[in-house]
Amino acid sequence: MVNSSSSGNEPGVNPPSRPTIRPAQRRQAPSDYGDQQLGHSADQSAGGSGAGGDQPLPSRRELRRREAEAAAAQGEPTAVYSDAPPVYEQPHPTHAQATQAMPAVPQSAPNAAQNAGGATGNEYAAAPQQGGHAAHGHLGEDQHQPQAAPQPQGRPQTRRQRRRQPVEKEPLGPIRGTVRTFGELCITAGLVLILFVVWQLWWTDIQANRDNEVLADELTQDWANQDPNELPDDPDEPVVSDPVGKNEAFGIFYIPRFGDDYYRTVAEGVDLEPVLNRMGVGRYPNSAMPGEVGNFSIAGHRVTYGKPLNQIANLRPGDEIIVQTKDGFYTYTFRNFDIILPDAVEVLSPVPDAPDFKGKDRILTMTACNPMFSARERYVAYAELTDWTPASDGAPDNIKDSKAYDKVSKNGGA
Amino acid sequence: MYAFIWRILPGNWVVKLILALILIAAVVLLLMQYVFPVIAPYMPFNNATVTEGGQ
Repeated sequence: MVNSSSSGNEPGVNPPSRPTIRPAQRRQAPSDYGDQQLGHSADQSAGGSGAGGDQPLPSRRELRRREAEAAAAQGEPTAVYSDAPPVYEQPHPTHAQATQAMPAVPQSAPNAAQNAGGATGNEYAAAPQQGGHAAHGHLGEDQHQPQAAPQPQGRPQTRRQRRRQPVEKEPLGPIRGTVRTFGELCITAGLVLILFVVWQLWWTDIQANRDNEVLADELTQDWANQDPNELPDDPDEPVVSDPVGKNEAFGIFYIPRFGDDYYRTVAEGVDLEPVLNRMGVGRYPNSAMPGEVGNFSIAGHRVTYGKPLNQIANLRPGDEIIVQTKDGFYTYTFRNFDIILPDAVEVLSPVPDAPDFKGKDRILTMTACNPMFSARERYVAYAELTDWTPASDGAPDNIKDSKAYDKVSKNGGA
Repeated sequence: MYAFIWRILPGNWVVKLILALILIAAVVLLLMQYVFPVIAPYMPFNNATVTEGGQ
């Protein structure tokens, strides 16, 4: 950045003629000379290959050397030019050293510097692209100490070193900058969308399962500290759970068909937050409680958020669905399924699909989305209460040895 | 944009890299904790209930 300011000033201070140059302007001289030579040099470089800049150099150097010698003979101080890479740590040589070293020094650096600084049109257009930075660095030194002379070096090595110099990046114009920013924003949007998918399909499951475990533990600990409801006189008649407040968990689902370690809490309400997204499955308000005559209806995610009903389509007639509450274990047996439209609320009535009847069965209805990842339809699974075990009798045989019950009972002590 | 962020980060490239990773982590956390839960209900696959309105 220091160099750009210094080189930017150059075209304005170009001295018109050689004999009157003062020390501060001495380094500008070769550009004039180069401009005069532009005609035949440009032809040569255009005719040559990619290294076309090499061709006119010997003659130019020779000319410059002769000119310098003539100037030295007249007692004038001479300018020094170099295309050697900058050596920033190098102490500046004295005037005498510079003068002595001068004849051997190649002189393309000022051209490179002026080219990079905006003075296009001279024949060294190819060289500054590789050596522009080096030339700038050297030029910055030269401005303060015009007599500074770099070490004379062989030409092939110099070119190799110059090629290694990093290209100095120019700031983007407004159009290219806008296009680049737009592209970056598009890439960012794509990454955010990917992140959303990852979050939705993977992270919500992890979160919901963790929440569910904690909730189940809390629930069983609560049960351990409460007295169960009084048992009815008829041992075959199940105890009906007491209703709970909205968004409160009141039971645990075990479905062996979904896996030996499958369990999910069931809470009151079917709002996405917090019940369905974080508390397992949710009970439709105003439906029956577990064990009650009527329709105990629940809803649950089939994908994402712990996907409690992910395998609802795998249920086979006769599969057992065990609901544990404070009072005991209600065993429902899967009977049949249906695929309905999202507004078919009659499946929640005591006699599903027949809202006018009161019914006398204890039914469990589970709803989930269908097909997966779509809201077009709903999958409904119906089950009927077939068994009931009071909490005091311990878990029924169908889940007693399962991993899920083991985990829940170990943590909670219920 | 990213080049600009990289430029205004202080320190050498190691410090820049650490700061950039912290920035990325902060953005990811912000999105996952606050932004995604807000827009998730509008996704088409999160409806599991039957209701009068059909949604």
